Amino acid sequence: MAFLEIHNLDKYFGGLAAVNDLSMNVEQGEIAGLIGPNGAGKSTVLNMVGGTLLPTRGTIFFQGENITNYPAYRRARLGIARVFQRNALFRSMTTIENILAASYLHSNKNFTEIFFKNASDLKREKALYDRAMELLSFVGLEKQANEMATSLPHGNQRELCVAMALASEPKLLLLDEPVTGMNAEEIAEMMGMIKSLRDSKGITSIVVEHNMRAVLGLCEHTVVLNYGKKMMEGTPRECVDDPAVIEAYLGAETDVI
Amino acid sequence: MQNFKEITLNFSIDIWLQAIANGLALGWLYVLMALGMMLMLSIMGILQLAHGEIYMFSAYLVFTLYSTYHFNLYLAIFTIMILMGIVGLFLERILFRPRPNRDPVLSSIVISVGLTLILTSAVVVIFGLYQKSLPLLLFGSFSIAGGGVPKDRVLAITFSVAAIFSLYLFLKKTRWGQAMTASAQNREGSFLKGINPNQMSMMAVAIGCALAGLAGGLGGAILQIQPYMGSLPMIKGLVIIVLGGLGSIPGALAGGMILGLIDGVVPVIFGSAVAAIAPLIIVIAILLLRPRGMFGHD
Amino acid sequence: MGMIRNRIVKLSGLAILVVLLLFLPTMLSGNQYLVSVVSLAAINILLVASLRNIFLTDQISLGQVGFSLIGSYGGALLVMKAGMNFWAALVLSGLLSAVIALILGYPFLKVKGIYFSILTLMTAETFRLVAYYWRELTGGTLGLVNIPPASPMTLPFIGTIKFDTVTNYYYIVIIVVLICLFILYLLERSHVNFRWRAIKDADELALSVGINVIWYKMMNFAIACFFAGISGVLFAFFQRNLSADGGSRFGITMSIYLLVYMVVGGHKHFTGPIIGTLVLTIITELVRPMQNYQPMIIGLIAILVMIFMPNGLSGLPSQIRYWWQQRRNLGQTRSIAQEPDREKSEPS
Repeated sequence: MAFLEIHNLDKYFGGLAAVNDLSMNVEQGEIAGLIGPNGAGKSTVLNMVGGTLLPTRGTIFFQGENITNYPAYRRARLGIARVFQRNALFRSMTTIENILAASYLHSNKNFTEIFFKNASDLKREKALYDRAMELLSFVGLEKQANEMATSLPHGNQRELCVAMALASEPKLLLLDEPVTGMNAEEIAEMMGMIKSLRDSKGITSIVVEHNMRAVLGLCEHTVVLNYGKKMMEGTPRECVDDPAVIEAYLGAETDVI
Repeated sequence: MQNFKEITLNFSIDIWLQAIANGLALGWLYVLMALGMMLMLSIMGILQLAHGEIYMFSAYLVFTLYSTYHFNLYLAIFTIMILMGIVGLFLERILFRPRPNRDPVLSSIVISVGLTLILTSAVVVIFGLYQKSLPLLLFGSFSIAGGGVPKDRVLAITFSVAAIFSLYLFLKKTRWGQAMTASAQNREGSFLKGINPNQMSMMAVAIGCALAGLAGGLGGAILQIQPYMGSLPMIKGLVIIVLGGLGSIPGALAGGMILGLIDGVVPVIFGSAVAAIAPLIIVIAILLLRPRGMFGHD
Repeated sequence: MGMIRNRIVKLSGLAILVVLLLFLPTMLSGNQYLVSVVSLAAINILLVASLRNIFLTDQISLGQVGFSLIGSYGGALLVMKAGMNFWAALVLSGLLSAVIALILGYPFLKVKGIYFSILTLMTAETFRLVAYYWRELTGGTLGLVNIPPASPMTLPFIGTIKFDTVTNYYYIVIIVVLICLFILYLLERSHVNFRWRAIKDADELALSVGINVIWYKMMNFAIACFFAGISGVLFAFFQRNLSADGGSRFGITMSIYLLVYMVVGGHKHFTGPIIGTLVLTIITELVRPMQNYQPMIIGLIAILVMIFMPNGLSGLPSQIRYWWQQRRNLGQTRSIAQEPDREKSEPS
């Protein structure tokens, strides 16, 4: 069985089919891309893999387990992590607190201790704190550890989101438009980061993106969606060069290179 | 003790007709309230807990116009309906417009709650605690099926239906009405299409308050006027919204009629305890099991 | 070093406060009315604190009076009909409230925003109407009367204390409320609240990092309603009779007042409910000669606070600090702008 298997996935909102009979597989260690014009249903697919939406029909298997109806927190425990489209951060917390919150799966869960131990006494929880600082260093944010997360510039917030996703030590990373709103330098950095995550930690990624240059440089395997249906599957180069795909994009607004 | 079958079979047709007419008349008033609250809830996301007090305040204003200034009763009701619409514009501007630093749910609840306290208290201070009454809209009863149906109830139903029908036409046929409908279903989408959310909010509150004003005037003529008469219609309005589904006028109508019938008939058969508790349980059940209500789509 | 000194200052301040509270009746030279006002304020503080606790997970409950009702009637009936000791009834009624909250919590907490508030409002009204109409159990419209005083306590050295006077019962109220507030304070600084904060900030994100949001919300709701129940029991043995009519403590008006107390005191800080309840209780007392104007004044305060001071009184210090900081920043940039040749005048 493939690492992630999606079978005949449907998602209907009222009478409208956002996703229509999608089947695709992702192998372990792949960086897969989900592309297509606006409104093609890419984020919806990611939401269904991540667990924030439940499909109308179809099944999803992760490492052989049927996760179709699992709630999102259960999927997190299995090793699926999300980087959301709009910077999803814990607004009342500092940068490092965000990482600590995201490290929930590795935090103290002893029933009595969590009620009475003081959460702001970070030094007591040294192991967790050190791990959080490590993650921040990995994305280059260790100097902003004690600043409010919302005061970070957009690119840094994105990196924080990635660091938070890594906090749970995931096996599968779902990234929803990770490079939107970034300049060329930041895009290159993000691409390098996603690749090194695969190379050093074996993390599989599914990337939903509009920026074709990023997809070409990053993914080995892409699936093109149009109006919720799978239009084509193959290497990024194959998909981008395909005339039908080009037409689908020209018919809608995107930022293709 | 007789079982309820025996009790009901012993009722004369008169009592049944009265109960049904009562229920329906009140039901239509509650629908007026429900529609106003529904507009505000779906367009602004606000639960106007003070809507019942707008209803109550209108009744008192109609009373003042009638008794102190000797307005014709119908004219008084009509005037107050328009006046409340204008008041609604100010309320939106000053109180209910969303602001960046505030939690919208918390602030809307607190502000509407504050308004409730102010209005109730003002009325008690100005008019005192005792009940007032207005003369009947119309004297006498119609004869239907061998029993008597009070004419004023029928007239109240007629006015309510007329108002609701006008609202329906407004929403379906005029540009502003269609903009409001779009706004109610999809706030962000309509913003992108160029619809001004502030304008929509202002109209929602204005129309809502006008409807409450009409309901208050009619209610004051049918029932006794007292400072706490507002909370029940507000809760009934809420029940109707939940029953019929947010965003559906036919749903509100259906919900209102069902509720009106229940309200009129259940106390007579089952007693006031069940009559008071049943709507609440229904709302809770619907919110938990079928949040869309009968016809809604949210 | 500074932190330890800080802590000592805070702790000693608290100790002084506790001592003041314990000696309050003597300070008020036994003025029963004022002592009863303080008792009732303390009971309300606990109830508002429970409301705020639920707000920690971003839910606004308008139904705390309902759980307080369960505590009141539960506690009174356990003592009157089951012959239980006051303290046992106190804890048991609190637990009863918590269990009911847990059961209702699962379906309720899945509902978001204002609909949750509507649900809690209707539930509390339902509880109240049931109490109002159930003559056999609760005395129905006549209310529950002649609740006995809290069970007497025998202490070493002091002898037996009876709690049939306002002053003596005051001590029970103060001690129980202080203990409960202390527990809530610890809770707020614990790991559990860290997760509640995550849920309040971004609950979808919290779900994706593995937090079982509904379970944490249920836990929060149950804990809050436990304390609401305790508050109810304290009230029952304070008032010694209970009524469930529309204008009573268990009605919609009281739900509204609780919310106003929380907002005026400030919802961001632990001390908010305490400050809000105290300030508004004092205002209510001052306004007593003009009783008819009282709701108007409270309503006006609520609206003004919501518009001009949305973080309430307890949020004022940080708000002032923020404005001060802004003014200083502005002042600094102004003075730099006014000295353009500063660098040139320095020796090279």
